[in-house]
Amino acid sequence: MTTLPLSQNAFLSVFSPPDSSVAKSQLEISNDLDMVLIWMQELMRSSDPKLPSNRIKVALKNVCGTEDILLLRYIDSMRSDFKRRDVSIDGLDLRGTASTVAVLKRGYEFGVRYLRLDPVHQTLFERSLHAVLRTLFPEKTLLRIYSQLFSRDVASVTRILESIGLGEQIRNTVMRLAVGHVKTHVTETCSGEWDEPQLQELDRWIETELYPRINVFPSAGSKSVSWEINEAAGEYDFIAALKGIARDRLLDLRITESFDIVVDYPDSCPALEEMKLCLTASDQRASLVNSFIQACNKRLLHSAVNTTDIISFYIALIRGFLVIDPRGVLLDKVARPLRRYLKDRDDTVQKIVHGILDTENELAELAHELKRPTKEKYDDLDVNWCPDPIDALPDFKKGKVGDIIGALISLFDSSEVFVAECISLFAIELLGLTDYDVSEVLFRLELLKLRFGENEISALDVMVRDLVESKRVNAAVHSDGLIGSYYSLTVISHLYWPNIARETFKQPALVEQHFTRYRARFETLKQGRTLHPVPMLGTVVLELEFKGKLVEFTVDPLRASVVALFEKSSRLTLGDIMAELQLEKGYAVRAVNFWIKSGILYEPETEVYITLEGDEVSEGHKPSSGFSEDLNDELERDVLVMAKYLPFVTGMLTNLGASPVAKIHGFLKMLVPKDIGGYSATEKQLEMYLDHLVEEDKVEVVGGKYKLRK
Amino acid sequence: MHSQKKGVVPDGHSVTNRLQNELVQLMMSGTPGISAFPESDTNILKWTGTIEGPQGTPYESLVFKISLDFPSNYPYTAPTIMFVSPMWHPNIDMKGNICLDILKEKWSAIYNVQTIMLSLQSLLGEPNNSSPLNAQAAQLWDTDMDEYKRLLMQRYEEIED
Repeated sequence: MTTLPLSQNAFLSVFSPPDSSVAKSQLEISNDLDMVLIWMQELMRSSDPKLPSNRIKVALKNVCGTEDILLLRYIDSMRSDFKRRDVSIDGLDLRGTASTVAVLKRGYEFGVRYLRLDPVHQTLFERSLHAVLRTLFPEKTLLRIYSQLFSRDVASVTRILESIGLGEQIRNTVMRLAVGHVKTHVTETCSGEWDEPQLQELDRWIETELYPRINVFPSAGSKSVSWEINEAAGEYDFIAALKGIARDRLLDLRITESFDIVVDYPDSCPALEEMKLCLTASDQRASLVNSFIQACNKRLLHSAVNTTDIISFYIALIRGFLVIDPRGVLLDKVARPLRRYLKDRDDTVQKIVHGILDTENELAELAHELKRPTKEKYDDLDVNWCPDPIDALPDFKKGKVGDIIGALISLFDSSEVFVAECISLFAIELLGLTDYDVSEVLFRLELLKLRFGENEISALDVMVRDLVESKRVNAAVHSDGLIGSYYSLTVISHLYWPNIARETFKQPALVEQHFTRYRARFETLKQGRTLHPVPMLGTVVLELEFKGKLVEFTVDPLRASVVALFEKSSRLTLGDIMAELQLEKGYAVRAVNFWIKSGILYEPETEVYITLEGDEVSEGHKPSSGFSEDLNDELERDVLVMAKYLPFVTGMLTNLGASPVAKIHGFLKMLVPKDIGGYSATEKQLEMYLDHLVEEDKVEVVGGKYKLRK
Repeated sequence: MHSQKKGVVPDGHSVTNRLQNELVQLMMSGTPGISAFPESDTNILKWTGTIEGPQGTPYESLVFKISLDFPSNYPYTAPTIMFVSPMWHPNIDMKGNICLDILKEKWSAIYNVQTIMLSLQSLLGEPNNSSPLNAQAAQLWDTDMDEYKRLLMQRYEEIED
């Protein structure tokens, strides 16, 4: 606060004394003023104030009416007095300093009583005094005093400071300190602690530990400057305010941790529940959504993360965010970027379907999810209908966001891709059955029907019926005992089964013989129908006598046939195998590699294989460099994947003549429909495949264009 | 959402779907001797087809190109099919127009590219000589097969890629 440097003379020249009848010389009044001031200062210093003398009484009477000037001078002297005393609180004796100041203040207040000031001047004086005190105890100093809330001095210092009218300042300081304490405490005790609730403990801490420490004001005796005008309510308010701050702080912390909390689901359920309690303001919701999406983009939605992990995360996300916000609005918002990303991944469908149908993989919980009863369909005529939440996005679908399987299936616009993938998985599983027992498959088939509808997966019905029928046929065929009971067939309706390997090879004579007999029996059983072997599919249980031991293998027929060749001769070249089985090179190499890895065959020189029966080969001879093998495998896999486009390639080349790679690529991209898996290869892969076809003499290259070999 | 009853004029999308499905069916079935494919990757309504002459007929080991134009309301209207390769046949004129009942008044939506192509293939071996477009061919078919074959080969052009 600034004071105007008014000199006494200047003041007197402007104002004339109010009572004109008692005219006094200016000099007289000036003398009187000085006298009064001196008397007041004496009064203030003496411990035992005496009554004013008669002269002073006269002087006091004379100065009546010039209170303004008197007060200004009084305050001036008071300010310099405080300054002179140098009441710095740097000294150790806080209490002493505070008391000195308190005594001074009381003195000045005492002096001013005799002036019988009117209320306006009284207020002016009080304000000035307060201002002087505040400059003596600036906020910085108060913070320093109160940051050691435990020091015993604080209570007494507080009492003194409070008595000199600094209660308000202390309150603010203490509040600031308390807030700081709460924030640090929350960060220190709650970070990463998601598996048990924290709020109750925080509340307890504030009530029983923090509040008693900061409640420095004597609860009784003080009136206007205590914490609270109304004791009970005020106290409650302060604690409640601190609790509110703790909640906000906890929520802020949880928002920054939200990604990890979701990863930790279901262990982090308590933390999620508390987020729900704390999440009240809409800006907090927005900040949760934003920071979560940012974390997702940074940590999840990039090519370094497995699709399975993203799907697991999505599942945890659905469950976790429904705890925070059961209406699903927040879930809907945070899931969108994730859904968009998943849609672009090639293997999403595959992984999801595997998860749904296969109980033994990372996404097996999807299988459990499928078995859960589905909620009743949402009905427009529901009497409990209520509008969408106000902050929901326009295309928010109530009741949809929480259904995990539904959410995953709805990633794609049509369920066709899922159905196709389901069918191919079921096909593998059904063909793997050795006892024709379809009951388990049927159960899951019914569950799938609930999801996708009867019609979508009717092909699966046919497939299951094929199995049931096969069981009957098999029993009938075996009834006369002509065919060994170890030889069973699964008769499938080829139109309804996906991805049936068209490649064939010459089966070992024994198997061939069995098949012929089987077919004959079948043809008598089912008039007008015949059997075509699909030798690539099936299961063979083999017992190999190897180094005097019996080793059992369960392999596919191709591998079994390859190893069977070594029964007659222990040394064969790749060419021999291919010729003997009338097999393509890729298949032969794969089958042979399997036996090499199993330790049955050994490749002493390129494309020559011997059985490892003799002792001449030590254990050290394991399959050669894995790298080139992998590379080969990769190439083979590519070729296998691309093989399904072969009909399109031939169809195109037949009708449109020779075409360059780019054109073929463009056509495939355009024309291969999604329900047979779509076309996802790159032009490079296509070119590799076409070159592979050239090697196989199916296609030739003329002037940079591929054409069919006639 | 407006719903559209099935059986009324379909939109472009369903023609595309239908033709795409037919293409897959045709490619996957791999019926020997017939094949067809869209001419460009932008317009699926125009296809090119290839038919091999059936065995035991004058057309054996000959290959012919045809063009297939699908109307936008296919399959409710028959596609327009022409022989692109020069042809000598009682029911096919010199411009390649074909006289086949299922492509005209007996068309039905249950037919598809595969059945059309198979019908055409069998038409080569079993012409309908009661309503010929090429009267000379019809006459020779019944009377002088050697001359028929000679005239056929005179017109026949091998397809070049």
